[in-house]
Order: sequence, then C-alpha cells, then structure tokens
Amino acid sequence: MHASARRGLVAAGLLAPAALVFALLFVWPQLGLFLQSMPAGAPLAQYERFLGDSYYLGVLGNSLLLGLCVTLVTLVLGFPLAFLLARAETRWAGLLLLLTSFPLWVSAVVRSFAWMVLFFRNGVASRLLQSTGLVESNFQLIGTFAGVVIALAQVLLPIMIVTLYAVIRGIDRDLEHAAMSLGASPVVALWLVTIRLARGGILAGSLLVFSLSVSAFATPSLVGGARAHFMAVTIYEQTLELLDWPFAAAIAAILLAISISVALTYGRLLGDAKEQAR
Amino acid sequence: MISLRSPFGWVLRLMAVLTFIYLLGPLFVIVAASFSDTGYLAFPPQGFSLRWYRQALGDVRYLNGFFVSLRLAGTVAVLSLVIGTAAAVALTRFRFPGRALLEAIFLSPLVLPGLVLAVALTLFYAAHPVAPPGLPRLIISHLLVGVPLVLRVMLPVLKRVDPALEEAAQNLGAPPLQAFFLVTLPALKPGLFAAAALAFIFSFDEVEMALFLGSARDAPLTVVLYGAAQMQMDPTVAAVSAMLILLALILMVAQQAYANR
Amino acid sequence: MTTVSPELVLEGLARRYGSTTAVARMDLAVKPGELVALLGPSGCGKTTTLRMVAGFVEPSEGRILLRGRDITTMPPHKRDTGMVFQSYALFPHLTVAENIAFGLQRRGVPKPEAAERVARMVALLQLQGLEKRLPKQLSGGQQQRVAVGRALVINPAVVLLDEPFSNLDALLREGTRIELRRLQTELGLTTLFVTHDQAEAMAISDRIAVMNKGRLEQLGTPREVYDRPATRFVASFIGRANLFVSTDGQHSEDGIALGAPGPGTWLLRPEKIALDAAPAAGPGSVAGTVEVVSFLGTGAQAVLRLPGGRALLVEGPAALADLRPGAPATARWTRPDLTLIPGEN
Ligand SMILES: Nc1ncnc2c1ncn2[C@@H]1O[C@H](COP(=O)(O)OP(=O)(O)OP(=O)(O)O)[C@@H](O)[C@H]1O
Ligand SMILES: [Mg+2]
Repeated sequence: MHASARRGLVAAGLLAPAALVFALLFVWPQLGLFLQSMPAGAPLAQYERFLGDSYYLGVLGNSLLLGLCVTLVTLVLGFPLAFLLARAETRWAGLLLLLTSFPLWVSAVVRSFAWMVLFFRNGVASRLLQSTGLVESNFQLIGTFAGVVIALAQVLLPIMIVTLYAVIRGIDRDLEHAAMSLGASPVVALWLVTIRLARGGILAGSLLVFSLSVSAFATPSLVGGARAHFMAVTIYEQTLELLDWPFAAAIAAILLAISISVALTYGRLLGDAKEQAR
Repeated sequence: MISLRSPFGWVLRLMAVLTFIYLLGPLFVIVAASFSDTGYLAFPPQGFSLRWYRQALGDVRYLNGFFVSLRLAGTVAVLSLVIGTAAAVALTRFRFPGRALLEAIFLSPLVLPGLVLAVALTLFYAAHPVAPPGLPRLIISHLLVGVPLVLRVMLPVLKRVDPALEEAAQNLGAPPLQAFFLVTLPALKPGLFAAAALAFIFSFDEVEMALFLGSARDAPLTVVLYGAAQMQMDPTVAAVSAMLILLALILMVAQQAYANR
Repeated sequence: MTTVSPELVLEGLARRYGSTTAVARMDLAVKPGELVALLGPSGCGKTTTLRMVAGFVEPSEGRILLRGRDITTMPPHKRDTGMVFQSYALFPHLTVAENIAFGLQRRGVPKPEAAERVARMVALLQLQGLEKRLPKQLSGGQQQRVAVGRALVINPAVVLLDEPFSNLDALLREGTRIELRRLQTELGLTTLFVTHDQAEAMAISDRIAVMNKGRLEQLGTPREVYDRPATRFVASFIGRANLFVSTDGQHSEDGIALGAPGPGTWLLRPEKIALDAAPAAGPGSVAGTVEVVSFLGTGAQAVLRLPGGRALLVEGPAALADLRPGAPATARWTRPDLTLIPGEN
C-alpha cells in the first residue's frame, strides 16, 4: 500500500501546477465575472439594461448574423477543398493540407490587415466592385458587414477545413465505391453516403466556427472599423474605454453562455461523429 | 473514389482552387504590397523598394514590440510545456477516479472566447493584483491557453507511447524518474516540439489578452500592429506583417521537418 | 534425494482488483536453472503473477522470495529480474547494441566489459551485423531476439517471459522456442514463462503450473500433467479428453460399459482408443456410428457418435481416415487406459 500512496502523491504533484493555473486564472476570474455582472441590490439590472435596449439587442443580433454568415461561407467553400484533400492520393495532398492550415500560424491582426489593404477605397476588392457600377465610386468594403464576413470567413476557414478533413478521412471510401457500383452517380453517392456520414462532423465544425465568429474581436474591430457593432468589440469598449465593468461583465457573461452552450453541443456531436465514422 | 475526371470532379476542383486563392491570396497581397515603392499601400505594387522594411526595422515601437513578443512567447512556451506535459503524464500514466472529467475540464479554456477570458482576467487582476502588471501578468495569463494547447498535443502522444517501455527500463535497473527521462522523454520529443511551437505561436499571435492586460511600455508586437493598423494604412505595417508571415513560415517548416525526421 | 533450495518462491501470493480475484493464494517454488511455464486460459492471472514477481503489481497478500531474499515490497529496479515483454518494449530511439547494453549501464558495468558482454549476447542470438540498427528496422523475429538478449545480458536471478512468441508466425514460433530452450539450459537460467498455448508449454518447460480463474490447479512435469491430470479442467485443457463420470465403475452415468476399477471421474485419452468393426463385447467397448473423420498427416482423428447421444473422440494411425462417415464402428480400451481424476471426488 505504501508504494501506491507514493504514486498518488507523484500524480498529485504533476497535476498541481496545471490545476493551479486553471483554478487561479479560469475558475476564479470567471466566477468573479458573474459576480461583477450582478451587483448587490440590483443583481439583474445590467442584464435588463442589455436586453431592454434595442441598440444592444442589435449588437447581439449582428454578432449572431455574422456567425451564421461566416459559418455558411466557410462550410460551402471548405467542404470541396476538405473533400479533395481527404480523398487525394497524390503526395501533394499533405503539402496542400499544410498550406491550408498555414494561415493559422499567422496572427489574426496580420490577416485582418491584409483584408484592410484589399478593402480600402483604393484597394483591389473595392475597385473591382466600383467597376461593376453596382456601388458608388467612393464605395469601400471596409466598415461594411459584408467586408467583415469576407475577412472573418477567411480567418476561420482553415479551422473548418481541418475539422472536415479529419471527419472525411474517417469515412471508408469503399462506401462511396459501393454506392456507385450499385448505380449511384458521383453526386448522388456524395450526397447519400459521404455527406450523410459526415453530418455530425459538419455540424461540429459549423458550431465551432459559429462560436468563434460570434465572439471574434480582432477582425471585426479592424475590418469593421469604428462602427463595428459586434459583441466582442462592445465588450472591449465597455471595459477599456467606458470603464463600465459591471455592464462589460454582463455582456461577457452573455457571450460566455452562448459559447458554452455551443461548446457542449459541439463536444457531444464530435463524439457522435467519431462513433458513426467507425 | 469519385472520379476527378468527371464534370462533377472538375466543379469540385475549380471550387477548391478558388478557395485556395481566397485562403492564401491576402497573405500574398500583403507581402507584395510591402515591396511597393509608393508612399501609400498599393496592390499590385508599383516599383520595388525595401524602404518600408528599413523604416520598420528603424522604428523603436516595432523593434521593442518584437522583443517583448519574443520574450513573452518564449516564456509562455517553456512554462506551458513543463506544466502541460507534467499534467499530461499524470493524466495518462496514473489511474484515478475522475481522470476523464479532469482531462475535459483542463481542455475547456480552448473552446471559450479569448475576449471573455481577457475581460474576466482584467477584472480579476483589478481586485487581486497577484502578478505585477505588464509582461509578467500577460505571461501567466497566456498560460491559461498555452497549458491546454500543450495538453491537447501531448495527451494523444503519451497515449501512443507503450507504457511497457518505462517498465522495461525499470526492470533493467533504472529508478522510475530515470526511466522516464531515459526512455519516455525521447519518444515524446517530436510531440514536445510541436506543442512548444503551438504555445509559442499562440502567445506570439494573441491580441485580446495582450490588449487588455499588457502595459503601454512593453506592448507585444500584435498590440503595436493592431494600433498602427487602426490609425493609418501605412506600408510599414505591411512590411512588419510580411516579416511575421515569414517567421510563421519558418516555424511551420521547422516543425514539419522535425516531425518528419 | 537432495533438496536444492529454490531460487524463486511464491508464498500464498494473491492479488485482488476490487471484487475480482486475479490471483488467489498461489504457492510455487522454482528451482535454480528450471523453466516453469504458467499455463492457462485468457484472464486466469498469468500476467498478473508475472508482474507481481517483476514488481509492477503489488500483491494483496503473500510473499515473494528471490534467492532467499524477501522482495515483496522492493521497487522493480532493485529486483534482479529480467523481463521479456509481450510487445518487446524495445526502446525505439536506441540501437540494438544500446538496447542490450541498457541494463549493464544501469548497473555501472565498466564500458569495455559491457561491450564484450553485449557482443557475446549478439553472437549468441545471431544478431551480428544488426548492432547499429534501430528496432523499427528489424523483423519481428529479430526484435524478439533483441528483447530476449536485453533481459539475459544482465544475468538476472530469474528470467520472466510474458507470451514472448505470440507476435511471431507459427513457423518462426517453433524455431524460436527451441532456440530459447537451448539458451536457457545452456546458461542455466531460472525462468518463469507465461503462455496460453499448451503445446508450447509442453515443448519447452521442465514443469508446468496450470492455472484457472486465478488458482493454481496443478504443478508438475509435462508428462505428469498430461498423464495424471489433477482436475477435470487440467485434463481437458492439456491435450484432448474423453471424460466419464461413474458411481460404480462398471458403467458411466450415460450408460457406457466403462470397466473402471471404481467410482469417480475417469479420463480416456483419444489415442488410447482402438476402433474396429466387430460387435461390442463387455466392459471397455462401445458401438457407435462414425460421424466425422479427419486426416492429420501424422495420424487421423474420428468422432464416434454413441447411442446415448455423446460423442467419443478417437485418435489413431492414418488408416483411421479410411473410415466412411455413417459406418458402424466399435471403440475398445482396456482398464489401464483409464485414468482417475482425483480432484473431482
Ligand atoms: N489493472 C487491473 N485492474 C482490474 N482488473 C485487472 C487488472 N489487471 C488484470 N485484471 C483482471 O485480472 C484477471 C487476470 O488478468 P491477467 O492479465 O493476469 O490474465 P492473463 O492470464 O495474463 O490473461 P491473457 O492470457 O489474456 O493475457 C483478469 O480477469 C483481468 O481482467
Ligand atoms: Mg497476459
């Protein structure tokens, strides 16, 4: 029994620093956040202020809409690439996958700045739109909702692709062969077999991207400019510029609640997806 | 396999190529624009000059920011690696009740928005100044994400290492700690490198906590860049961005080369 | 008879995991230079026993003595055991020579002597030319030999092997086990060997410890456990068995004229039975119908269906395979062919 007691002590010692980091920097501050958002006397005042103000409700709606649009764009663009990478038999596939995930190694600030260059009044993207005549000659994509969607979708696309790639890799490609040998066209085989089986993974990747875009900060604030009405940007203003901490804490708590509920669903779905792919 | 020669295959391919351009094009644009000989940001670039690089490298804000970021990311990588690997060893080599739950809990900071973590930490430090403001505060705050990142890399690596290796070493006369360092650690090396690279790049690139918790005096490079990008469309920002892209490329290639040895 | 003091002694050794008993109060003494096989079906506690000796599992009860020293609570690295793992557990970042030298380095053996001992082991195991290779550059058989060499080079007081051949194909397995036996006798190594393959245990060991559900059912030489199994379990686990239960010796419970000297559970090995076409006559004979015949190369096997419904397994010369299924045949045996199983009364 002596030896096992010693082993227990060793395990506790190895876990202690990580547990300390977690407790001190995560549990305590998050609890503090909730407490700050509910000051004594009027515990729900901050939440009522947020939910009763059409401006803030608009911010919430904006962020949710951003999440929806970005998720849709990354899914539509990400699936074909992920599928090809997962099914390719060339040596290049590995390199291409690496290149796909390369943007993840670059700061979101740098990547957002790249879009600013393109979206500026004289930027390539803005000029391209101007030349179609659909917009005025001084139109710029910077500061527009569409601009934020385009930029943020590019920032989060690698995450979607990597998630989808893993799920598609887990699907036995013989299932596609089987469907086609039974008379299904490639499109039907893809629809009936691959997408069906990848459903859990597709949903999981979508939720992850959704959660990240709803709470994104750097890209919306840089590409969205001064009038970026998004959750994270509002929290930033309330905390650092207006110093209204109880209110900032309340908005952060709402954002946290969204993220946690999405994360819980995500975790369950990814588990299911792995189960199914087997 | 779905034939890539069919019309449908070609549609898929075309979409993939466009996606690829969308994904990497902006990075290319910024690198190209940084060489422009114009006084404003231009793409396609006009002329070729290195003057924005000269200007960036002569700018004390960027230089200072770079070294702050380097110190920050280096320290965070090392500390995260030690703390995270120790926890990963405990979670894979010891049996105790609630092990799986603890694993999930430790990884949870990764799925929560960085900004929320940053706000919570700001309020926390205001009430409990457990670390001096500025770099030390930022370093320990980055551990909150650095440690789970290391855990996420190291847990599967450790699970793949045959526990019998350490037993064999002990059986041949190595005390437990020596057995770990002599046989398990070498088997973990590629994983350790990847984990450290990931923690480093996270800390180097992170902007939310850096904005909230850093001090103006030692602001990391991302904060300097964030400020500059908001102020003006300055080609020096492009030059700094291009250098950061190069740094990321070097790190990624090094990590791959190491992993594929 | 002189008594040699045993090298390894297990005294009432037991291990429980919660409510499951992996090993139940086991007594075993291994003599110097002897190879004892722990044999039994999956989950009977063989590995647990071996790992208690190596020090990786703490016994719930009992003692382990190695060369007269109580090592029950000693940490693994201080015990003088050399273990060969089922997965080999070769250190992937070390070469063949470095793997074999590992234990010598831990013991502080001077470099020149270590190099010489490694070279001798390499030669003994026919690994010459492979010293600089990494484990992943070796075939399964070569890896297995490195694992054996690494455990033997330190001259351990006892060698522990956990199913060392299970990852080899059938042909290689037989060659390797003959090699191991030769090496073990040559070097006079005291060895505890875990296997669930009864043929392997019979071929290689001085004595076999047959285990079942954590209990030691019988300890004896291969001949003893085959010819005089102590329990019904041993009788059917080692070799093939026809078992009869009889209350008077004359007839079995299912009405076969057994002709045994007394009541009890009786074992009749298939190779002791003769088949012919004459009608059954008196004790030690029973008529039936041939159901299946199979030709085995060195001999043949037949299943005889008896009137009571039970099947009788018969083994004999290759000519047995000429019988046609459906043909009537009579099985015959004599009284000495029957063995009483003592553990069942
Ligand atoms: N760490 C453990 N925790 C709980 N039960 C265990 C543990 N190790 C072994 N057991 C149980 O103890 C019993 C004996 O296991 P052991 O591994 O010794 O069997 P074995 O004879 O080596 O079997 P096999 O031939 O399959 O290797 C089994 O019922 C097993 O489930
Ligand atoms: Mg076993």
